[in-house]
Amino acid sequence: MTDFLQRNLALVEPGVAAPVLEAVPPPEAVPSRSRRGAWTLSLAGVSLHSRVDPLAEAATLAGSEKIRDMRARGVKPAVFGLGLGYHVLALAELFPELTVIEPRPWMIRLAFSLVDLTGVLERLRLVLGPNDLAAPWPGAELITHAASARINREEYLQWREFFNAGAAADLSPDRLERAWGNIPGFELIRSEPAFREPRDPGALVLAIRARPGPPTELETLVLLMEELLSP
Amino acid sequence: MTAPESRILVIQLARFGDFLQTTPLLTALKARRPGARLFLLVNSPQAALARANPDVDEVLVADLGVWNHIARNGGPYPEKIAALGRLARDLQPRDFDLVVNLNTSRLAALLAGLFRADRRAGPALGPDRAGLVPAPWADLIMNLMTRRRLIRFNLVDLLASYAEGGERTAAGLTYPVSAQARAQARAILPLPGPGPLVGFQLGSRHVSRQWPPDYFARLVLDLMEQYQAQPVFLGLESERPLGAEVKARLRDLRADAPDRVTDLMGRTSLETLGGVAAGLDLLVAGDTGTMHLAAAVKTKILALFIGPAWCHETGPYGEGQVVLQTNMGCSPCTEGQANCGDHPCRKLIGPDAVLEAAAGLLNNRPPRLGPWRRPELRFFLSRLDRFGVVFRPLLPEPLEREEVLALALREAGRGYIRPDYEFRPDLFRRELLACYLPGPSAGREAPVDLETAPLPRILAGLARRGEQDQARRFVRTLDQAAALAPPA
Repeated sequence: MTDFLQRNLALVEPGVAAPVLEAVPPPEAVPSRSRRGAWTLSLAGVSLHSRVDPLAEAATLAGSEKIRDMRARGVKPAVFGLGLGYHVLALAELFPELTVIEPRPWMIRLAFSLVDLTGVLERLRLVLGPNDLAAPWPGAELITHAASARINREEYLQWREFFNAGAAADLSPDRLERAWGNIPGFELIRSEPAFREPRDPGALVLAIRARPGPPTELETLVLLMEELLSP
Repeated sequence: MTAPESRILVIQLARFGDFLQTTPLLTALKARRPGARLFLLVNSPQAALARANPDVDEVLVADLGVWNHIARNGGPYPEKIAALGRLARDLQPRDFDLVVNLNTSRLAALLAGLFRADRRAGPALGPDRAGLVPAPWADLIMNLMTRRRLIRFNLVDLLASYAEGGERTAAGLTYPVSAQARAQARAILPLPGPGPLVGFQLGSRHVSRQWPPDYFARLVLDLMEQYQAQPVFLGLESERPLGAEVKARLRDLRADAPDRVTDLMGRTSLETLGGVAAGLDLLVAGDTGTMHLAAAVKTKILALFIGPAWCHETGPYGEGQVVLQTNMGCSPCTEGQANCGDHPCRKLIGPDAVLEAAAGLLNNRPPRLGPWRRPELRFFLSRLDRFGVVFRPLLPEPLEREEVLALALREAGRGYIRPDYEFRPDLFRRELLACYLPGPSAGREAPVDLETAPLPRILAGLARRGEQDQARRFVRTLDQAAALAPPA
């Protein structure tokens, strides 16, 4: 066992460490040195990271407009694909907590063997499958490591669907505006943390202004909900 | 003229006693629209009651407990909305010609909004989605509520007004007692004996409405000893301590008396209670669901209306029921807000007066209550007239100016609540002559002072809604009725 692997594994929960220890990378997974010296990886000819400078590539992802927007909105990111972990290291400098979805334990073993991730593992939640995640949590959005999505196409699609369903539960203000603001007869005028639902602190309360005419069924249901929740 | 509605939904989410008071409306709706299908939306505890009603074609059940649970525990907000939507879609059918909401709650108005309707009646959600737009005549009643002593409208008749038409249709409340309920009641009631079977509903929803336990004990013993009555105690499980207290007081009067009481408190289902009520010769009760149940099964009732209870609003619906009504200057009070200590009005109705009233009912003769006549205590007999139930003085009494105003407001209000109702001066005068003593009374020296009445607010409400014709008719009827009072 390499030194990195031992130290990295020591910082993850047993539910992840055990399958990682037992995993055997396939022969077609070939690590190699990039031009700038950091490890990179190809799988059956597909490069998971830049063969020139994987660290710079990761920095570019972390500095993208999408990531800046997510930071501004206070989104909690869920990253599909660990790869060798460079983009996770870069994103960990921007977000206090990260969830990383890596469907293949052998990939984690490879990453743990080649890269020192001890600086971020205490703030990292590694997820191998949907059962590791109780439910989509409000405020979470998926960041995709494109190369990981290519080599795990089926898993990636399932997770994307999983998060899209969770996005319906995402009650961040701008999502609410987009989702609810254009429904006829119903106008969102305010969204704020739900003080009436202490067990669901991520939930938001909708304040509704009536438009002329009788309420739609959706508006009636929302008003019913508010009435049922009122003390 | 529009075609009569063929599909009508009535929404009644309230409790058992309120449901019973809705039944004349259902009868009136079917009577005035013979070909219509009548649907009733109820909360789940009333589902069996609703299905037993012969005027109801189909029952929709909203289990409000489930709705509440989903709202408070159903997961993320949009998932809850989706779950409520599924519950709403289970309520079928959804299209009606007329939807009548009988509940003054925002929840009921919102549920009513889930159904499509060509026409709606009853409290509805306002355009701001916050407040309720009440029934057109609600202003009248709300203004009268500022002086409840002037109210002469029974809740049953107000609800029946949603069926429109002028005159009363139903002969009373409807509650079919099944053969099974009668058999269950026979199994737990005493075997027929030489004396009557008399039920006692001991409790009420608030202590201010309750007759004192020692008075009940005195009455029970006197009925047993003088009329060989077989007493039956009725009430909820939670009221059993009250029953124990009455029995303890009874034991103080006569050691073996409690042994002759059949105690059914907390021991009957609602269905069986109907059978029990139907099997009684007389029920002595306050303003309670049991009283309304007895009225529905046509059992004789001796009702004790105390504190906040006002028989004109919620008295037993039907013919020939006797009510003893407390009438202190503060009557009727507002429940829970009286600051009189231990409610002295509870002791205004003495056991002797109640015994005589019971004797009159049991022997089919007018009670001879003259010895107990006093201004703070009034005795009424229920009658059904063209509009609904009225509670007329059991003994002719002086016609006080407050009574003149109350009766005039009653007649004017009837024409407003039901535009097809026609004021009949001849019948009104006949009622006055039958119930009130001719000649001057101490309170009739001055003219009726309309300025102290809620009349200005009532008229302002009518004007605000642009109902000029109705306002003019209201005042005209008021003047006519007041003028018919025997001169002082």
